[in-house]
Amino acid sequence: MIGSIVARTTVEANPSFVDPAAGVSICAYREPDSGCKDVSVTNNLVGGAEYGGFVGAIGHRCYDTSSTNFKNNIAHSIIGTLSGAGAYINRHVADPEQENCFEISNFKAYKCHNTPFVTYSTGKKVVMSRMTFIDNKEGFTALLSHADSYDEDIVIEGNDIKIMGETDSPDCPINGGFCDIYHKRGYITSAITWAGKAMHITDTSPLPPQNIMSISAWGSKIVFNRLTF
Amino acid sequence: MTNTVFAVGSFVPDYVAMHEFYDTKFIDVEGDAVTYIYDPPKKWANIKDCGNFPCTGPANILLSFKGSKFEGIRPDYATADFQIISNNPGFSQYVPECEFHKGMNAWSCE
Repeated sequence: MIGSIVARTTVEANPSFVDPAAGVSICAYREPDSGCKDVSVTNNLVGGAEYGGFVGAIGHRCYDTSSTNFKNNIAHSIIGTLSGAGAYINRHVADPEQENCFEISNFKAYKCHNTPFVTYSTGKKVVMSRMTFIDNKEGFTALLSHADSYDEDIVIEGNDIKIMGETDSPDCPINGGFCDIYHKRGYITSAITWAGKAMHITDTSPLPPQNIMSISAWGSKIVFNRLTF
Repeated sequence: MTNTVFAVGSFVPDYVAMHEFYDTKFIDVEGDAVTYIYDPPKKWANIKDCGNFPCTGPANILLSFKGSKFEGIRPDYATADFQIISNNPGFSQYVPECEFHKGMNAWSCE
């Protein structure tokens, strides 16, 4: 199925208001949505959406390669006010086991105006696996919100992720109608903080989602295996 | 334009935990393109945020690499096992076997 997603222009609000938007919002628009169950988001492509390609509380249990909660999705050219994430995915709140460990896997993003991927969820461990990011402005990153600042079992883990900078696809295509050249980064340092953020952030101040506005937790472990740059 | 593989978040005043990277593969990555670690902004020295001095989060970055592999262009300082630390004026220059890289505003260490 092919759909066209257009940002609405009829909202009247103060200048700092950000209209909740995304290509696909999954169990996130009215978060925390503990009644959101049996949702499977697979094999989708979102291009040119505002704020996030995929915004969802739709992680899966760690190291479960059979999960189809969120799998084989692609986002590109996502843009927004101080935002533009290929995917902003947190744990699935309807699955209490994910409080201990949740994973997001099998995702690709290219030419996003901000980050290709970010997670900023409550929980004790997040795993990112089997992702590919090409030619995005900011790097991917992961943050966890955990109130016990000295808990040393808080882990951010990434496995088998490929990050590519420039590609043959130009940032200033001839007669393309745009020219966006900027300093690009592959990965932004991860962190654990006391407080997290909403998935659909509706004010410019906290944006982008990975902009830390909370006290950092001291006990934490950040490990990446088999990254390719 | 200078693209970098690793970057420090733009607002990390408190603390960034050590990052451990295992079996990382670098393909055509030049030395100064591995990272750029900014100094703590002076504007962080205010009562609301950090008090009389800027919070030192960016000054205490440690990226640890083990089992790294390289193809094509490669950083001349990098080996399979190496580390990158912030340019912390009270610390970095005293660490043995570390080399400063102006383009990264950081030190590589064996």
